[in-house]
Amino acid sequence: MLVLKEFGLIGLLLAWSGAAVAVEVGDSAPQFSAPTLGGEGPVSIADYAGKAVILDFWASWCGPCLVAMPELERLSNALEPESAVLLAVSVDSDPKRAARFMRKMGVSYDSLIDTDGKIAAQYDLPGMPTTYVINPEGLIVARHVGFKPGDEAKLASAVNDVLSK
Amino acid sequence: MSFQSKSRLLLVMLVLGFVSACQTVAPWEREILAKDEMAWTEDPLAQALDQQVYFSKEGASGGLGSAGGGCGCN
Repeated sequence: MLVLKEFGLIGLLLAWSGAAVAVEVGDSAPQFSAPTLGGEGPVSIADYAGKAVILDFWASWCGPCLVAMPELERLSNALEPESAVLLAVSVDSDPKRAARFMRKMGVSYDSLIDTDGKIAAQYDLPGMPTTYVINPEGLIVARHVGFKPGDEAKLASAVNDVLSK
Repeated sequence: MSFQSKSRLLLVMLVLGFVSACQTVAPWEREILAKDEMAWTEDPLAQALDQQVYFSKEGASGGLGSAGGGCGCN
C-alpha cells in the first residue's frame, strides 16, 4: 500500500513538473492566440477554421529556419488564401530582432510572436524549426522537424494532400 | 508514520530531487546557446584543421563535442 502511495506521489510530482506531451500527427492542433510581429492581433488559430494551416515555428537564431524562409515564402505565395494559409510563429525573445530578420530575409508573410515560449511548449516542439500541416478540421496531418534544401517538396506534398481531399 | 515509512519517503524525495536536476533545454529555449559566443570554438576552420591532425595521429575519428548547434535541429 505504501509502495502505491509512493508511486502516486511520484506521478503527481512528475505531472506537476509540467512534462508536456509532444503534439503528433492525428492529434488536434492545440488552440492559441498571439500578437503579430507588426503589433496587430491577437491572431488565433481558430480564426482559420475551415482552412488548411501551415504552422511554422521559427527563430532568428535558428540556422535551418534561414534556409526554410524563402521556401515558405514561395509556398505561401502559391497558396489560395481562401483555402490555406501560412501561419508563422517566432519564438524569439525579442520581437524587434525577429521583425528585422524577416525584413532581411525579404519574406512577405507575417509572423506571430511567442516570446515566452508558451505556444511552443503547448506543441512541445521536438526541434527548430518545426512545421505542422493542419487540415481544415483542425487535425495535424503532417509534422516536419528541421529543414534542409529539398524539404519544401515534402511540405508542399502534405499541403496538396490536404487540399485535394 | 513508522521509521521505515519515513525512510522510504525520504528516499523517494531524494530520488525526485536528483531527477529534477536532470533538466534539458527545450529546442525553443536555445536562443542563448545558439549565440556565437556560446560555441565551443571561436574559429571553426582552425578547429577542423586541428581535428584533422588529431584524428590522423590517432587513426580514429569522432567522439568530440556534442550533437547540434544549439538550435535543436540535429
